[in-house]
Amino acid sequence: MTGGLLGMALLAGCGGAADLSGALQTAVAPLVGTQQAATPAAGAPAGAVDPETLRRVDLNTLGLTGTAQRLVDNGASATFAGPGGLTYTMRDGMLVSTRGLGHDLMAAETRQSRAALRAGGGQALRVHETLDGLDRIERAEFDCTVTPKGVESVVLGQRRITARRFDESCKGAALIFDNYYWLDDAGEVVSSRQFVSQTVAYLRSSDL
Amino acid sequence: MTIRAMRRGGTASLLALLATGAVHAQAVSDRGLSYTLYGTPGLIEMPSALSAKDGQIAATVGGFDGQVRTTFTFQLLPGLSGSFRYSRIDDYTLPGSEGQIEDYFDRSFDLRYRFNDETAILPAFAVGLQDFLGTGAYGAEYLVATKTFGDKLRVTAGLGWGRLGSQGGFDNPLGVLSSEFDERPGLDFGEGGTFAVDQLFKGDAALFGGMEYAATDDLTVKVEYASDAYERETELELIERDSSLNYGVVYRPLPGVQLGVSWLYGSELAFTGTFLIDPSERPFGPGLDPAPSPIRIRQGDARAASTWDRAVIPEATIGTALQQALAAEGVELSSIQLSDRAVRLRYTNTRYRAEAQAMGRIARMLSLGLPDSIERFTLEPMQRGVPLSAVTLNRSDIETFSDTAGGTQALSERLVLTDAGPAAGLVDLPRVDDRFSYGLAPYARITVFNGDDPFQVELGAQISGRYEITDSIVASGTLRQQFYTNRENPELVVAEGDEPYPVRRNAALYADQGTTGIRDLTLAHYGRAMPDVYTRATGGYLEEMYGGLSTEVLWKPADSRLGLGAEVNYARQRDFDLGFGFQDYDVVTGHASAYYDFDNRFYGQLDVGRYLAGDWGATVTLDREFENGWAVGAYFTLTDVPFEAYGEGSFDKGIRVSIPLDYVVGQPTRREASTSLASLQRDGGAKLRVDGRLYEVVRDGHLNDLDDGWGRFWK
Repeated sequence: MTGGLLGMALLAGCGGAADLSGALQTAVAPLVGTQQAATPAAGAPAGAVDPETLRRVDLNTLGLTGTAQRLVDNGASATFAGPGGLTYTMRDGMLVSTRGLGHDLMAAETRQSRAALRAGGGQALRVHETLDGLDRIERAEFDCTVTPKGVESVVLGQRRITARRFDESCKGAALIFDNYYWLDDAGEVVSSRQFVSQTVAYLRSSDL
Repeated sequence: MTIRAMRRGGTASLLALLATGAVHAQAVSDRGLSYTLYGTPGLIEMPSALSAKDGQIAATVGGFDGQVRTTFTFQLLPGLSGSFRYSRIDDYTLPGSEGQIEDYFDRSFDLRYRFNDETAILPAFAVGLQDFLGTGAYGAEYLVATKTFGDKLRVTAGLGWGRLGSQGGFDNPLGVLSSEFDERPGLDFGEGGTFAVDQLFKGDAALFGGMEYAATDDLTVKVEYASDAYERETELELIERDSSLNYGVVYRPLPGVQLGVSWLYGSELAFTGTFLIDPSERPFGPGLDPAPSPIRIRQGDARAASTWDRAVIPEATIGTALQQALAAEGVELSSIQLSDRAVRLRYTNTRYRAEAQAMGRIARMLSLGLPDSIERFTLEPMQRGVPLSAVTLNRSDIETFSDTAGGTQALSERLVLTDAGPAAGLVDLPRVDDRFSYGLAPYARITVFNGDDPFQVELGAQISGRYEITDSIVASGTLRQQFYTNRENPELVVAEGDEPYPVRRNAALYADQGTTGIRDLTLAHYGRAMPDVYTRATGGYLEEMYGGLSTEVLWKPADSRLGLGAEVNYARQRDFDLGFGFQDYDVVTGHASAYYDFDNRFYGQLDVGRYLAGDWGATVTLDREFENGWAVGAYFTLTDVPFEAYGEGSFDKGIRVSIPLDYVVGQPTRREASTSLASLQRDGGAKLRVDGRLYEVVRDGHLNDLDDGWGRFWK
């Protein structure tokens, strides 16, 4: 197994994505290998990993809590690996997919919600896709309202910052959920609680 | 051509039309549904016009003193259901027979068709045939209407013939059409198992009806007026029929479980238990598959690269590294072709039921690891060493559509599915996985519905081994050790009169004498003679009862609904002790087969040829397959063996069910559990059992199966 993983790392490293090599060696290795392997960054000395690549992740319903590490940085989006073999992808701070959770969020269309956050509030149409019992993609649309909730103090790892909080209330044919976002001065989402699926409920992810 | 385009090109089929005629949106008809003692949706003994949820399977055990009925009801289409029933009636014989049989066993088969959904004004109407293929012991036909009032009350009224026209009967209203309807002819039972068409809707008719009241969500109370006189049973003094009113209550302790108690005919206490399985509802939802590797999206100008530096990454390194990385996904990479802009892979997916999911996982790895200039991924899945098809994906599409709403659909519209390409250009990679594999497992064989001895069981352990000499030449075998059986000293069956040679009826002797033995030991070769033509040759101890040589050829283009095949076998009967020896009986057997994928999830197969006993005939098989791998089907075989010579059941027929194991365990696996429910294996219309027939091997990589599993591409 090790040979293969090193091989993949080598390939990627030479393929042009400079930082991918490192990510693969530390993160993809356990991912494509045995899922039982410990979460890469959990318990790793803080100095060894760039905190920029780490997130604090919580899935209360499944009892999963820990540190997630970025596997790939694709610019606009990034995929993280967290405890229990889960992965999730954020696109500009918005959760667009999860894997390894069973009732995963297969894909999401969140651009209007992101635009509403940027605009300081507003209406948004959101689309979530899940997989049904017959392996068909199920599409659900939600009407959402993004409301500013003022400035709050939030803890990110060792630091405390003030961030603007927004609540997004979404209503679909059979489902209602509320997402929360905290945005820093640059307008980046630094912490959020976003809906995954009915069984999994919410995923919290915060910068460290 | 894309998956979508080929779908549009598909021809409308008769079955598709039939199905669309039957498909009305499922309305209220399956709400608060409960089951009769006959295991069909309805009142207590009387049917209603309701249908279960499309695809649902209901297993019901119902009984009262001296009678137990075990029924499987399958909702074939939204309006059409079929029931298979196995009953025990103490001290019963059929009308017209002498004496009584202590444990009388009976098989029966029903069909019900619901014409319409209930509306605000109009009730649902249905027509049903009860026990029309069996002995006719429960034979009845009915027209029935059911109307729901508000949330709580449901009323059913119907007109019955046969058993359901025996109490309070009047002259058949169909008599106005023809005087032939006035009299119900006696049952010409023969060997049973034939379509009693001359009896249908004949003789006196009677009214029946009843009400259901949903007291709570979990509890339904029922009362009915039954038009079944239990003529034969009262004649044999098996039941006292003091009243036509039956009362019952049904309780649902858990979703999918119903327990009922009822008071029948003023004299009998009856119980029912029903268990519901819905193939479309997986216990583990979409599945607990471990997360796949992420996708790397090439940034900026990287996509425009026209080549990569082979001095830095030699092609050989890519092959080896990919092979090892894919092994982690249960994908065995056999060969690779690389160019500046494209990659082509041949591999065997050993883990994922849906080839589409394996493709998704491979595409992710390729996006992660391959040099940026490589834009086109061509994936050629293989099974048993034979390439099945070629799916070409653009790397840019993978990057664009991952984690994007609509991305699964969009990708399926952009991929190109063709026949697998030529072997030329591919560089073989040395095999790194184990060529040898083995397994030790318990086995159980349960034989039910055998006329005289209805429940036979055999338990033991088996060890199986498999060695892949090449990708496409495989030696495999299974050794069996029996630990327990309740079969008692079976006697050698010999053909009497014009009976066919006992090619299957001595199965019990194999179980009795072959307590330690070779179940199978074969050498098999698979090949692809031309792009759409596949071949198989299997030699050795093919199955428990026969050894010999089996050869097969199949024409099946990757994007075709139609497949055509031919199989020719030489088979010789094995010794009962499951050793290396053979008996004197041998036969050349084989079939020409046509396979067709009707629309609306139905698959048909027609085999015409010569069967094991040397009889000539045809087998018709129809399966309803679910996208997630479930299949429920029925088959029958008619040959030149006369019904009397065939014996019990008149001809070979049965119901079969196949359940993918990932449905049960929630983890990816290609295994499945298959069983035949109703087959009473006799000698007419018997087929050689050969492992790995081509159609089942090849179809996973072809259009329809790929399309069914496509939702799992990104999973």
